Amino acid sequence: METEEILAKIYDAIIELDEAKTLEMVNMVLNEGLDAIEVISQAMSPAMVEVGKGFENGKMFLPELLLSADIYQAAMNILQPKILEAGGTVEALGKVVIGTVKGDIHAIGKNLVSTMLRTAGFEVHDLGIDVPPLTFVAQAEKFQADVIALSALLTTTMESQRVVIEALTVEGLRDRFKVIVGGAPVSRQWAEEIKADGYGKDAVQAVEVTKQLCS
Amino acid sequence: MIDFVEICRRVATGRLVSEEKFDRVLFYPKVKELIQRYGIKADLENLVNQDDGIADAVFHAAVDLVSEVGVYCPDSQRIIELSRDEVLEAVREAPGPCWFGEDKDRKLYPVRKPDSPDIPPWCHIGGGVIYENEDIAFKVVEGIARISEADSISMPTFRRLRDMPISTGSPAGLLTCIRSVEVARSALRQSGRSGMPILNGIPGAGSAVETIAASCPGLGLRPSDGWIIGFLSEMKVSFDALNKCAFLLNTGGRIGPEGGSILGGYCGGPEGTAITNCAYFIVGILVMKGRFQISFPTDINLGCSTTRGVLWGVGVTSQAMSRNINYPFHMLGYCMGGPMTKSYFYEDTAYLLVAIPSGASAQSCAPAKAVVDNHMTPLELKYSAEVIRCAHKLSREEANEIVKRLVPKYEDNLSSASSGKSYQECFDVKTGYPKKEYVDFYSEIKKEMANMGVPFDY
Ligand code: B12
Repeated sequence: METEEILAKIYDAIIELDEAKTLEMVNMVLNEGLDAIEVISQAMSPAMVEVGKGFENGKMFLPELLLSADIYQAAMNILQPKILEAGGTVEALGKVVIGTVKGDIHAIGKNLVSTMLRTAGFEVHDLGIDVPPLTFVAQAEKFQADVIALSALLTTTMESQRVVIEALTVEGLRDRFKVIVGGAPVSRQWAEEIKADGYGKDAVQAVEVTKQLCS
Repeated sequence: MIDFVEICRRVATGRLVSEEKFDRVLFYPKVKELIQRYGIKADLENLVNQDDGIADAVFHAAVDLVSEVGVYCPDSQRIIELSRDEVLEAVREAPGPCWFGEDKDRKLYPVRKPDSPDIPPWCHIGGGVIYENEDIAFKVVEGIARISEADSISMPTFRRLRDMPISTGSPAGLLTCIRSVEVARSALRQSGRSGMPILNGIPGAGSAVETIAASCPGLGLRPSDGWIIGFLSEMKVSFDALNKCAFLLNTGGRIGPEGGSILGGYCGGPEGTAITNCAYFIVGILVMKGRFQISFPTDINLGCSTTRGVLWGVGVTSQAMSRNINYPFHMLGYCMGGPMTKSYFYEDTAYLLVAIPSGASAQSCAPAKAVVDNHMTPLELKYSAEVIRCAHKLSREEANEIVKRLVPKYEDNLSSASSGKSYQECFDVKTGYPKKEYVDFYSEIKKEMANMGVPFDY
């Protein structure tokens, strides 16, 4: 099979959410000695972008988005060792620690942002809901995160976003991590007020802004 | 019907599975299978469904969903399993119309049917919006009490206690929950509507502790009021919610389970949204022992309820439930547009014209999705109440024709719709009455809607 044909098949298989076929094609790539990096950049990443678009315009739903992220990860697990063997590196775009802040149990928006970040190529550590400020700090240190992403859906838990930033400052870690905030009542103005590094009004912006923060 | 203690037993002994497995392996594939099994297909050109067959199919699919999947509890990581017989029994034994309020404000919350011009809907007004301080919250409640169309109210809450921004779960947060009840009840008393039922105990409560604290007799809530207890999306219930139920079942408060499926999330598209949304009513009766229900499907990307897919689901849910369960309920819409925006008035009208002729009662739609502080005023709520009070005169067919012309007026600008102006901008804060600019705006748009066929009483 021509390289281009294989790449097109991988692209299609991901969009069709066909895990078996994706992995079969990826294995074929390796047997034929094709460049793994090229497979990621020419087929897998564009397919993930397409899946993201499908979600935004209502053609695909959250479970499909999650499935595509799993397929992407499974394919990466095959490709990664080969890239490393060949002396290359596959770095995630960045590491993100994400969670819904203390007192707040709204999960859906945070889950969506976390999935979109993953599909965009970030390594994401999701701490769940009702996460205390110092836990964000400790986990960010543990995973050597680049970005801490804070979701708050209640006006009365937004304050907790400020406390995370305060905690970073108190611990002398404010410069080590970028902080991005979001959630329905959160605004750009609020982000500026609490001196967060970024704000996103939805999952798409969350990805864009996190990319900027990591570049 | 199986009782609450049995629910407590099942939540502690049911099948143990991870939340992820519940969402992705048990729940979503079942929803897809049910859409196939019943051949359900949304019609996004006709948002007020006219086909009773579809409404009943959605109802049966909801029965299957509850009995084939059950309700997940993330705290015990177990599934509350419910047999088909138990589900059908709950449907049969649904609690029927319900009295709320006291004295001259005491009224019967009815159970309606699609196309029932002789049964006016229950008109629930307000929302758990946060205001700058308790003085403004007080004025807002007074403003709502002046809306004579309103049968019941959702009380607001506020951001600061003295000069302190309060946070959920903290002692100041708990004090604010208590204060919000006192403020709402005293504003109602002062307005001469002391018996008016408050249906949203307790808007600022992050957990059962706050709900229980602020429900103490003497603070203002009474058993003839309503308490809202939320399911988690999709088909989940927390210990916290069950704790609230345990408390209320023993103190006599009326439980209003609230569930809203999220279009684009774990229930998929419009069809799955409708099925899941109906399933919340069944588990509202069975698991939470609900007396009335609040339903609020939303869109995952916009967080509002006025996209085509969600509106179709709202209509079909209202029909499926009112045709098949003897259980009072109201639909709650979230609009993108805020106070003093055209978008709010268009969205609100479209939503109510889908829900009410389909057999639902309704709450005034929330401006700016009820997420922006201070962005809900008694004037757009008054408008909403006027639509609620007349929409039942339209048949589904008539409503559909209006909705068809109305949705294109806002849908292209939905994602960028303005959150509008705050209470302080729209109202004279000293007197608590709307500014002339807003009154003119309201009169103008009401005329426009009347010309489109909304049969206002006056
Ligand atoms: C679903 C819902 C619930 C569900 C949550 C289920 C769950 N598992 O998550 C339940 C029923 C449990 C619930 C409970 C409560 N809720 Co609620 N809830 C909602 C609702 C209707 C939708 C939220 C949602 O999931 N939207 C869909 C997702 C995809 O959108 P999103 O969360 O906004 O996320 C997007 C963006 O904000 C952004 N984003 C989110 N996080 C992040 C993070 C970062 C870093 C970035 C960059 C971006 C970002 O990207 C996301 C994707 O586009 C909103 C109203 C609304 N329309 O927003 C009320 C709402 C948020 N809830 C509200 C309230 C008051 C409560 C309760 C306190 C009610 C009560 N008294 O019991 C409790 C809270 C308990 C607690 N301790 O947290 C209020 C908040 C008001 C305010 N301004 O504070 C709202 C606005 C409704 C209202 N006014 O009544 N709720």
